Amino acid sequence: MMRQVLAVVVILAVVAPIPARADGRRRERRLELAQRWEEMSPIERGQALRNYRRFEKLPPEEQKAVQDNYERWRHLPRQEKDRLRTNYQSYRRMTPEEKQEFERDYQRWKGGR
Amino acid sequence: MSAPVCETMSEELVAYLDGEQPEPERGRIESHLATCLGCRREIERVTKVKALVRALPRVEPSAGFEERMWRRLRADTPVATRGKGFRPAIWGLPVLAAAAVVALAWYSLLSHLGESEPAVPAGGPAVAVAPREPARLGSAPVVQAEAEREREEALAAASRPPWDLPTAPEDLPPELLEHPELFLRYPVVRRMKKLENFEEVRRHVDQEHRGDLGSPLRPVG
Repeated sequence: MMRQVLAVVVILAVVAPIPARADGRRRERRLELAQRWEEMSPIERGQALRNYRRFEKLPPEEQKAVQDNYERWRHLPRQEKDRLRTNYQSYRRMTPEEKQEFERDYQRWKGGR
Repeated sequence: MSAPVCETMSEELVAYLDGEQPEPERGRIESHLATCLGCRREIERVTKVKALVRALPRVEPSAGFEERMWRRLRADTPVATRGKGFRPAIWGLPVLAAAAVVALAWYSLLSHLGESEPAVPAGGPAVAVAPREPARLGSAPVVQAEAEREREEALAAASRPPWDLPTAPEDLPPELLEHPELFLRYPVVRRMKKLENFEEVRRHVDQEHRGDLGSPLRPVG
C-alpha cells in the first residue's frame, strides 16, 4: 500500500510541472515571434495584415495551396524569386480585362499540357 | 537604433516614392526594400515629411487684398522716385512680390498676436496694409487653431500604421505571427504557379496567334 502511494506521489511530482513547462515554451515562442513582428516596419506590418485578411477569406483548400506555395517559395533560388517578382509586376500592370484574358489563356494552356 | 540608408539608393528612393521610376527599376528597388531595413525606414521618413509639407497651412490674404495693394502702390509710388536706371519691367515684379510677402508676414504676425489693427512701423514695410475687415478680426485665432488641428491630424495620419488595428502582437492571428513573410510575399505566393509559367503561357498564346505551335509545353510546379 505504502509503495503504491509513493509511486503515485512520484508520478505526480514528475507529471505535474509538464503543462507549466509547455506553457513556458509557448510563451517564449510567442515572445520571439512578437519580437520579430515588432522589428517589421509599420508599412510591412500593414501589408502583412491586409494580406492576411485576404488569405483568411479563401476556402481551406486554397489556403493550403498558398501555404504549400510558400514552402516552395522559401526554397527557391534568389534568381528565380526575382523572376517571379518581375512577372508579378507585369501581371499587376495588366488591366482587369487583360488579367481575365491571361487567366483564360493560363487555364487553356494548363488543360492542354 | 536607426539602420543606415544605402548611399546608392537614397536618391532613387525619393524618385521611387514620386512614381518617377520605370517599372524594371521599381522592381529592383522593391526587391532591395524587402531586404534593407535602413531604406525601408527612409521611405517611411520621406513619406511622413511629404505628408507634413502637404499639411502646411496656406496663408490666405483677405478679400480684395491684391486689388487694394495695387491701388495703393499706384497711388503711393511717386513718379519722381523712378530714377534713370529704374526698369519697371525688370525690377518691378520681384520688388512687388517681396513687398507682398513682407506685408503678408506682417499681417499674419499681427493676426497671431490678436491685435485689432496692423500698424505701420516707423521704418515701415514697403507696402502699407489696408485695414482688415471686421469680420476677419474674430476669425484669425479660429483659422490658426484650424490650421494647427489640420497639421496635427496630418502628423497623426502620417505616423499611424496604414491598417486598421490591432497592432499589438498578442492580438494578432497566430498564422500571421508565425509566418509574417508569407503574408508579405502573399501577392506573389498566391499566384506562384501562374507567375512561374507566365512567360511560357504568353509564348504559347503568341505561337497560337501565329499558328506555329512548337513542342508540347511543360508547366513548372
